Amino acid sequence: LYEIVTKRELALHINLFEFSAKEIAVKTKPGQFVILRVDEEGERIPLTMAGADVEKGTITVVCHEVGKTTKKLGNLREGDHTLDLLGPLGKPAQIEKFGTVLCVGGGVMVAPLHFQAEAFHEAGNKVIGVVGARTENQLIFEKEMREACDEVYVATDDGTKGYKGLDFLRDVLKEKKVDRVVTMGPIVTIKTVSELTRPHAIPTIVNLIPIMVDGMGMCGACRVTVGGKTMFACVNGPDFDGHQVDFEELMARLKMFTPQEKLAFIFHEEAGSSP
Amino acid sequence: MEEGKEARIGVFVCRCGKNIAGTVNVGEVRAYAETLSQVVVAEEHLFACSEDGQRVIKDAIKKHKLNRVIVASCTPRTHEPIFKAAVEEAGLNPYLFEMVNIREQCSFVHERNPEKATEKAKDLIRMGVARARFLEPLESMKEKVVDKALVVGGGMAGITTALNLAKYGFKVYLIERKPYLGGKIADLGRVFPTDDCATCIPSVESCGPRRGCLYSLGVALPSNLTIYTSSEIEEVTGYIGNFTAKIMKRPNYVNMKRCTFCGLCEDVCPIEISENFNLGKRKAVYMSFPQVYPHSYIIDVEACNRCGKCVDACPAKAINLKDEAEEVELHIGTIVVATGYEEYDPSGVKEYGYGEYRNVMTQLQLAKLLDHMGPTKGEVIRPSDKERPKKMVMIQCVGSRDSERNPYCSKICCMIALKHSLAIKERHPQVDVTIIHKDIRLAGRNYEDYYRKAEDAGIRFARGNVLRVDQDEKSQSLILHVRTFKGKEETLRADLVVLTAGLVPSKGTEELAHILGLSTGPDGFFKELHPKLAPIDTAIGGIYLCGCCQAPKDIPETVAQACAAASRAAIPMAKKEVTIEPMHSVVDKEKCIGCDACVGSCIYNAIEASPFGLPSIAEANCKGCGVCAAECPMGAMQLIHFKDEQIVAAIEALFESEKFASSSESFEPVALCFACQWCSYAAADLAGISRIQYPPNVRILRVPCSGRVDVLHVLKAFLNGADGVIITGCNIGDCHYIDGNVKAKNRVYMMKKSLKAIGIDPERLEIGFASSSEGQKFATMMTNFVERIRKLGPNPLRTKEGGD
Repeated sequence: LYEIVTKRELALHINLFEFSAKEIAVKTKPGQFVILRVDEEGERIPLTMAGADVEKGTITVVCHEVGKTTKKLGNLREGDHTLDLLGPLGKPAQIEKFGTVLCVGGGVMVAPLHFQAEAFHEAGNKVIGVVGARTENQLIFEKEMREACDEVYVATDDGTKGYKGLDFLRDVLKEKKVDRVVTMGPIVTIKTVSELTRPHAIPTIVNLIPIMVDGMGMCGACRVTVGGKTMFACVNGPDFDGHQVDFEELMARLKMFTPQEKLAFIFHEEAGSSP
Repeated sequence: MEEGKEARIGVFVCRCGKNIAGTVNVGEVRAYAETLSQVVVAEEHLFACSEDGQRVIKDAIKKHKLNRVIVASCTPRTHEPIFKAAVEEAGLNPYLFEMVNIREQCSFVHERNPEKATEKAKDLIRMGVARARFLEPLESMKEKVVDKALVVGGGMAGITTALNLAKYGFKVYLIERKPYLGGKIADLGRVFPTDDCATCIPSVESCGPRRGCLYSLGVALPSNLTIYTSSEIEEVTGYIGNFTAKIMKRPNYVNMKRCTFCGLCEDVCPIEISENFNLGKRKAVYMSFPQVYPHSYIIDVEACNRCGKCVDACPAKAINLKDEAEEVELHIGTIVVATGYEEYDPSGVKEYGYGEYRNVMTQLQLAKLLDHMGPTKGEVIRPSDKERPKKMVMIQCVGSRDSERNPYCSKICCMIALKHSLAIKERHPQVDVTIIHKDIRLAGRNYEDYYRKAEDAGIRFARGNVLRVDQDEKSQSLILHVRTFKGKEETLRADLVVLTAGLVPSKGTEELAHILGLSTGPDGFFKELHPKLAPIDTAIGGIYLCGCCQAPKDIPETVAQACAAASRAAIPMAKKEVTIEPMHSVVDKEKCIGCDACVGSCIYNAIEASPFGLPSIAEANCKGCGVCAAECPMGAMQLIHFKDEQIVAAIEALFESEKFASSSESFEPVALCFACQWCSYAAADLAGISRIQYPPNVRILRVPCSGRVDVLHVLKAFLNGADGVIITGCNIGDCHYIDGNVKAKNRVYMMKKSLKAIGIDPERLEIGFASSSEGQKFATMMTNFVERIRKLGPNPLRTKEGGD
């Protein structure tokens, strides 16, 4: 059992949790994730860590309520426990001195991206951050990103705050010498960023968290095609070369169970049952 | 509902002479309607649709300051427009009007059960009132149509479409991937059924039987037609009436307007390339043949060594080897796709030795030999020794009607073989020609004449399968192993074998489909909106198809289809504006999780994901089916006028009546039927008009498409006490939104399993399909379903809540 020591609502249906998990915290590096089960009947969900505090013995995750399990997690309060927390999983992000690193984050994934941005900054890079969301009310971690980065852009799909969409990056990439790009967020975000950097041939790292079950390379649920080769996001990743990833396949795989997820969510919400 | 404004609802119950009042106790129903919350007036009328009836409604709107109007009468399929117009005249937004069908779906079908029919009428009105509380005023929008068209593909189909559209007076852009226009016709020489030049095209000047020549196009080019050759579409955005296309124009290194085709460049070019089985040669700077259009030399980029000799030789200073690709952005209102076909590459059929044996060629290569402008000036010779063949064999259906390759018939290949063999016989009567076929298919006007002519000319026809072709190493002659249709194996010798390869979509079809958002069939050709009703249209409004990119077809059909495509594309441009229906999808930004489910669910490509996942909806492309709303896992996507709250309100209202809560001694099941507004609702109407009786236990709720029915709606029905839920849609294949009914079917299948978990027998949920002519089928479906749920007994959730 893992205790929630802090819970903070960042936006509607978006919560930050700090779990007491010393043994995970001491080993965690930016880019890694945990797999969590809320209760005995719960599915296993991968969550990329947004921070780890060795002294406090805690790890931080940010979770958007997008279905039954995440909703259950969202309903937990400080002092509550989750059944299990497995991690740290996946290879840590490659943190080195590259020069200028552009970190583009969308939605809840801005939180774990911030963890990397901090590390890049510490490693002596100039860090440019992009904090993005569908709409202003869903923007999170803007303040934290401003602290971790030398420069921060804000963007929303509907233009309610900052730039509208990501087209502005075209100019940024033209004007600034960017040595490395790291992007986390919805597939459409990381795909868009990868397409924008492709003509400039800037190494672009995408962090992929597809549907996972065991998180240790056994089940194969998280397979992705990278450069024509099948990879498991959990053990070969989660970081991959964005210019090599087959995003169409990834999107199709991610959507494979959407109808079932919806069904489970609605039954849970309306009938309080777990079909 | 409008902020802070209480609903003031008027209910008008129609007697329809005796049609309704003969069965339903209209007085009782009216009195009941008056008791419903927020109903300020309820009236009955002999004929609500009569002028007097309409006047009563209009007066009541003004007198009682009504902001919602419900008419309970006949089917909205016929009378809704009349009432909508009436309420609009009285100053009420027509979308605040709701119609309840108590004739076709009540009095007509429950004639022997007036009591139950009356109860049902009350239920239906209660549902209508509940829905009406949530209705919103809506306005349709009009958008200007850019009166310019883009035609993609410069072959027979594309040129004909472009010329026709130009003739209508619209600005037309014709783009062609190759450096020259003509597509496949440039390679065909002569064509059936007229045996004239393939390059004879319908004249620009008249619609009559006048000829124009592809190569004199330059002289007759309409000023409102712009041609881009060596160009391809990179990106298309927008919707009907307002598309933006990015075109990439590759450099030809020759300024086509300056070139005087003097040929001095060709003389100095040091690079020679052989083509057509080494029978012909050309330089790196070349004209593929003297009549090409645009009339100019071009440079073969891959072969050119950039020596620059041609640049110095050109007196017109037309050559610039530093030319760069150019991007052109076009704003257009409509797009016609005419990207044609490729001949199937027969090297895929290894046993025929194409590409390995020199004397095995395709019909397209033979056409080149038969062409008087070709490398042999029309003489048929064997590539290996340049001798005239004594014995030729043509093999039909190569890569076509072949379950392992392309299962479809390519339609024109039998005629191609006949046309070519007749041409050979005419020029070289002594050459022996045999055609080995599976069947000879010549379904076209006057096509059978070719068969008779061929028989008279001594061309042999043999039915069978060619198993393998071997080569005699010494003579390079070929030995064919044939299984005749009687099952006997025979061998046959030939000096020249011609493979009649089928047709496949031209290269890049999939990529273009992706750019335009079109779908392709399993055969790879572009999919038309409907094979019978909309063979030119696509699922994307404003994009049309013609020619072989849609399916293999001959030239007469291609020309006819090209004219049709021009006329289809002309309609919105002539109308100058498109109406954007207010019933389109909208997204709640706060609820959206950016999962992309809606994007994939939209068959009309009306939804696109923005960079952080927020869907952006091209309202003009949205057809209002509501499939995306039913797929959205968060309820963030909604279809205006059929929002969850509006549908759920009606469902909850149905079961709020006390009679459903108590478990009375005699159990009468209640079933909710979601009927799509097209075929299945019409089938229910037809059952009514035909007075086909079915049990009065079914309550019909109209939805735009069975694909709109959400898991939430079904679950709500069961949780509120429905004994059964039946979803009805158009027959599979007939969905008015292409495949909404298939999506509904899958959803029902999936839901059945989950219902079990909450104690609902999956048999209580059903999906059925009926066409608008299947009234009997609809009635039988309802009868059987009611019987089934009667046997299952009351919904266990209902009795639980009843306090068992």
